[in-house]
Amino acid sequence: MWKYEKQLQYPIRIKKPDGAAAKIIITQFGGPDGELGASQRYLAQRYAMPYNDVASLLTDIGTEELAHVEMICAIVRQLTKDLTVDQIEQSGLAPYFVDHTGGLWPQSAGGVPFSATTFQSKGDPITDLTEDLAAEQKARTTYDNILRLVDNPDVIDVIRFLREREIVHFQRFGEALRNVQDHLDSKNFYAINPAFDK
Amino acid sequence: MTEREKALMRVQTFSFALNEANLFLDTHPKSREALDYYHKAVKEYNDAVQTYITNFGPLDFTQVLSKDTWTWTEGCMPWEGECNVEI
Repeated sequence: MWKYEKQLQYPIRIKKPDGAAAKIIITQFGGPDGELGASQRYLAQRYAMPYNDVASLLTDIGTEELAHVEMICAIVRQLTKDLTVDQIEQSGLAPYFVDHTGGLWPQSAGGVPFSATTFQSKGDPITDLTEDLAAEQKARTTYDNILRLVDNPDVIDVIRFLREREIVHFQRFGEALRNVQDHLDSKNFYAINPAFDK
Repeated sequence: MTEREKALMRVQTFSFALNEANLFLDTHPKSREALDYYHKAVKEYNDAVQTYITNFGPLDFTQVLSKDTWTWTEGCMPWEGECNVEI
């Protein structure tokens, strides 16, 4: 069960509105490698994970991803709340504005709605953890691309923090995969699926 | 019911009571009656949590009491039936 804590994981205080930055950063809310998908991936995968240490790691990283969803939304909110209608039009935010005004809605930078088809929950520990490793790298690349496109130091600082978390999660998932393999037949990791075969 | 199940049931009871008080107070912040209920339930809840974590392990990752083992990953997972109280 979950409880909400009324604080951000890392402070966000953006002084200058920037619609163009918001338009690309929102992809980390509802895009293909975003934080919402990340949280749902790990929190969905944990139920069939047969090892307590890995099920706990999926719970804990999935929970941290929920805190990252909140951070991305805080960035987009702060970047857009003081925009004039002229600035909205100039920054290319008009198509988003007409549907959502100042509300937060999970979509990619290209406007594609959030979809569960961006992640898997396969019910096989090696398969799921291998997906998780790739997912962390894809999110890291997205943050690298955002850093190439954004010049506001208040935004860059937070994005760097989130990028670093992807690397930490990749490291922990790598260790989890190694722990899973230690439970299996070292001559053939695929002899059984420990989440299904008894 | 095992001792763990009794302790867990107490946590769940007051946790849900607080949940309900939380929502009610969000829309009735001036209700003295609801605030009294909330404060009583918080006390019972904290007490129930303390009893549970000293005897049966952490409910959240800030409640690991052991100085030499990371007990957070131990025990049953809450989504498994055998981890739950039979009502």
